Amino acid sequence: MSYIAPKDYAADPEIVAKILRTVSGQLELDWMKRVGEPAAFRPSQPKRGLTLDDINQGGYGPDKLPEVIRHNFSLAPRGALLPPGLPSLGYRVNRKSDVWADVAPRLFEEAKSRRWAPARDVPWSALDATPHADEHELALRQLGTSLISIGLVSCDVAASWEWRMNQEFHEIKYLLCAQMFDAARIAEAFRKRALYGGGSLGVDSRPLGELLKSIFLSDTYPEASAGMNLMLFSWVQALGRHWAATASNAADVYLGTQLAQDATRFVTYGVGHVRNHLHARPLQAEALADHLDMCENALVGALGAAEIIEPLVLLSGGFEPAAAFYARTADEYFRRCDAAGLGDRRDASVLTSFLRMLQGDSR
Amino acid sequence: MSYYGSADYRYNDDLALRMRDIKKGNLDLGWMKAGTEALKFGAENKKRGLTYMDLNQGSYGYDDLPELPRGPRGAAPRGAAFEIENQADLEPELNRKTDVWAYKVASFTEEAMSRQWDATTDVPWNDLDKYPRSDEIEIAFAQLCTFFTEVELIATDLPAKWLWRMNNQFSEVKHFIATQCMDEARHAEVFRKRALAGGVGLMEALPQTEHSLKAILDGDTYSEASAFMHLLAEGNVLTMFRFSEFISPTPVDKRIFQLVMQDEARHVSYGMQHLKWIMDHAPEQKEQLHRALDEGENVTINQFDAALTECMIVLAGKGTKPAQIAEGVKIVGNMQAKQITEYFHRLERAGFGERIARSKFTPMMADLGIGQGVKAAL
Amino acid sequence: MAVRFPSLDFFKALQQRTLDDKARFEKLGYCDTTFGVRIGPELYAIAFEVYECTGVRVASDASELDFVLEAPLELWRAMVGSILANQGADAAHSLNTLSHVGDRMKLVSHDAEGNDKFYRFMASLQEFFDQAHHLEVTL
Repeated sequence: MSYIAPKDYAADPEIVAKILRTVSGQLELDWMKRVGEPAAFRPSQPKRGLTLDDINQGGYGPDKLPEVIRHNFSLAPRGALLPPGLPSLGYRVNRKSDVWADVAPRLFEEAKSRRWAPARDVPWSALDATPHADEHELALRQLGTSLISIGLVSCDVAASWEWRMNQEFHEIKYLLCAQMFDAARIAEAFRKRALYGGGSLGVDSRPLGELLKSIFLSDTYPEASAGMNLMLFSWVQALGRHWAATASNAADVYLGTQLAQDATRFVTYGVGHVRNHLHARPLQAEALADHLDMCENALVGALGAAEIIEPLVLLSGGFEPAAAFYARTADEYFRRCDAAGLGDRRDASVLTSFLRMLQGDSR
Repeated sequence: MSYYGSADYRYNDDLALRMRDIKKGNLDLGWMKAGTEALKFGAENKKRGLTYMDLNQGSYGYDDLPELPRGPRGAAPRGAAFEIENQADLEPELNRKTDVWAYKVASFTEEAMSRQWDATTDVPWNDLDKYPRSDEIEIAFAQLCTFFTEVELIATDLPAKWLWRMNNQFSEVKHFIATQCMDEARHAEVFRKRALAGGVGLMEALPQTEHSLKAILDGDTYSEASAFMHLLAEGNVLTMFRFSEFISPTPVDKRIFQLVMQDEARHVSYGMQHLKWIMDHAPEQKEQLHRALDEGENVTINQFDAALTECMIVLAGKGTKPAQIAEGVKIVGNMQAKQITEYFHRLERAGFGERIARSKFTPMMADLGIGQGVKAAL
Repeated sequence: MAVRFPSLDFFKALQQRTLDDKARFEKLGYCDTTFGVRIGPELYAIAFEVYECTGVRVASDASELDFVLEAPLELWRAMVGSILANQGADAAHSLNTLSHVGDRMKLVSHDAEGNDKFYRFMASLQEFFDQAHHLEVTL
C-alpha cells in the first residue's frame, strides 16, 4: 500500500482515550460552531426537481472558481470549510479551463433523466418478426462489433481522466461518470444486438483500434475531450441516426435513436468545453488543431477500413449513399469545430482529402 | 498526443485504390467470414429482458473465460475475431481474471442498470419545509452530509482509477465499475444537495476521514483497493446508511438513505464476491490482502473523528442535553459494534474468516469493552 | 372533435397529449427545447420544458428557436398519415429518417447546441408527433 498512516492507531492510547471520553458523553461539540455559508436551496422549477444549477449559487457555485486551483487538493466538497491537515489526493487536472463547460451540469441532469436499460427497454422480440437478409444482418453485427469497441474504450477514456481531476470541478467529474455509464451501455446494447437470435460478433478493426488508442493516449484532457467528445462522438451520433434511419424493426429504431441521443450529450459537452478552453487560453488553439489533425488521420483509417465502410455501403443501399453519409457527417463535424472556436478545419483536414477520394477526385 | 497510429492516410495509395474498388462495387467482404461462433441467444426471462447472463455461452460467455486470456489486449470485444499481431495494444495492466472478477458480477451489473434513481426528482425536496428541525439537529445533519459527500467522492475516483487499466475481455466487470462510478456520483450529488437544502450549508471537511480515504485511493493493487474500499469502507458506510435512515430527522432524509443504501449494498456484494473469487482461485494472495487490510483497518480506526462521531450522537439522541447525549452514545455505540460484526460476517462469507483473529478491530473493541458484544454477535 | 393538419389547433391538441399521457413523457426524461416546425410557408413554435409541451404558437421569427424542421406540406402530411395509420410513425416516416436520408426534411439552426438539441431530445419529439394517433385528424 502506497500510503501508510503516520501512526499505528490500534496501539495508540490517545485514540482509545478519545473514544472512551466520547462514549462517556464528554463531547467536544466545537465543530457545531464552524458553520459555512448558509444555504436552503429549493427547486426553481418544481417539476424538474432540485438541480445542480439550483444549488450552484453563492460560494457553492462554480462562477467563483479561480482558473487555477491552489487552495484544495483534497476531497473537501466545494464550499466546505477547509481545516488544516487535509491530505492532497494528488489531482493532476487543476485548471478550470482544462475541463469546464457551462452546459455540463445540465447535461449530467439530462443523462440521469433520459436513462434507459438495454435489457428491458429495447424491444428485442421485434428482431424476430422481420429477419433481415443475411448480408444486411451481418453488416449490422459488424457495425455493432465496432460500436462495442467504441463503447469500451470511450468508457476507459472518461475513467482515465475522472480520477485525476480536482474535486472543485465535481460537476465535470459527475458528467464523466455519466459518460462512463453511457459508454458502457453502448457496449452492452450493441453486444446484445449483435448476438441476439442466431447472432455472432464480427472482426476487430485494427484501424478503429488505432483511432481509439490515439484518443485514449492523449497527453492532456482537452486533447482527449476534443478527440473523443467533439470528433469521435460526432461520428457515433451520426451512426446512431443512420442506424435508426435504415432500420426495418422497432428494436433497431430504438437502438439507433438512443445511441444518437446519448452520443449527442458527449458532443455538446465537447463543443462547450473546447470553446471555453480556447476562450480562456487562445494560445492552445494550435496544439488542439495539431492534435485533431492526428486524430482525423486515424479517423480516416477507420472510416476507410473494409469492416466499417462496407457494412455501411450494404446498409445504405450502395456506395453513393454511404459516401453522402460520410460527407454530411464531416460537414456537421467541421461546423462543430468552428462553433468550438477552432475555425474552419475543412481545407487542411485529411478528412476532406478522403471525401474527395470517395468522390473520385484524386487531388 | 502519445500515439500517432501506423499509417499516414493523407497520401495513401492503398486507401485510394480500395475506395475506388468499393465504388465500383468490388467489396472485399472478408469481415463476413469472421469465423466467430453463431449461437442462439434470447431472453430466458421476458420480464427481466435480455441480460448478460443470457449471453453467457461459448466464446462469448464469461464462465469459459480463462484465468489468463492470452492474446487480446485491445478493443476487441470478447468473442470477436482478432489477430494478436494486428491489434492496437491498449496496454492493459490487469489481465488475469482473478485480478478483477467476482461471482455474480453480471447480475450485479444488470441490477445496477435497472435500479438507477435520480436525486433531482426522486427526493421530495420541497417537503423539507414541512418538517421543522432545531438548529443543532440541522447542523449535525449538515456535518454528516459533508462527511458522506467526501466519502462518495473517493468512491468515484477509486473505481475510475482502475477501470481503464482492465483488459477489455472482462467487460462485465468494467461495466459494473462504470455503474459504481455513476452510483457514487449520484450519492455525492444527493448529499451535497441535502446539505445545501437544509438551511445550514456545508460544514467542515474531516482530515482524519480524508487520510483514510487517501489510503484507499493509493492501494497498490486493484484487489487490495477493493478489499479496503468495497468490503471495509463501503461496508462501514452501508451500516451507517442503515443507521442514518433510522436516525433521520425527516422522511425526506429517510428516503435519501433508502435510495443510497440499495446501491451501497450492491457495491459491498461485489467486493465480497471478488474477495471470494480470490480465495477460491488465488489463495496465495491471502497474505497480501491481510497486509492491505492491516493498514486499512489501522487508518479506519483513526476515522474516529470527533465531528463525525459527535454529529451522529447528536442526531441519534436528538439533541445535546446530557440525557440526549447519553441516548445518542448508546445508539451510536451499537452502530459501531454492528459495523465491526457485519464486516467480520462478510469476511467469513468471502472465505476470509481467518482475518478476524488478526483484525486490528478485535483488540481495540476489547479495550473499549465492546469486544464481548462483538464476539457474542459472531 | 376533429382537428385539421396543419393548424395551430393540431399542435395545441398535441400539447394537451403531453399532459394526458404524461407518464410516457416522464419516462423519456427531460426535454428542454423550443423548436420550430415549418410547414410550407407556416412556422409553428413549440416549446418543451422539463417533460411537457408548455406552449405552441404561430411564429414569424426563427432566430429565437433552437432549431427548425422544414419540409413541404406533402411530406408533413405523409408523416402524419403514417402516424395515423400505424399508431406512430413507421421507420420511413420518422423525424430521424426524414431529416437524415436525402435531406427531405431540413434541420436548420444557427448554433451547434441548438442543432444538437434535436438529437438529444428526438425520442421525446417523436413521441409528441406520434401522439397524433390519439386524435381525430383531417389531412
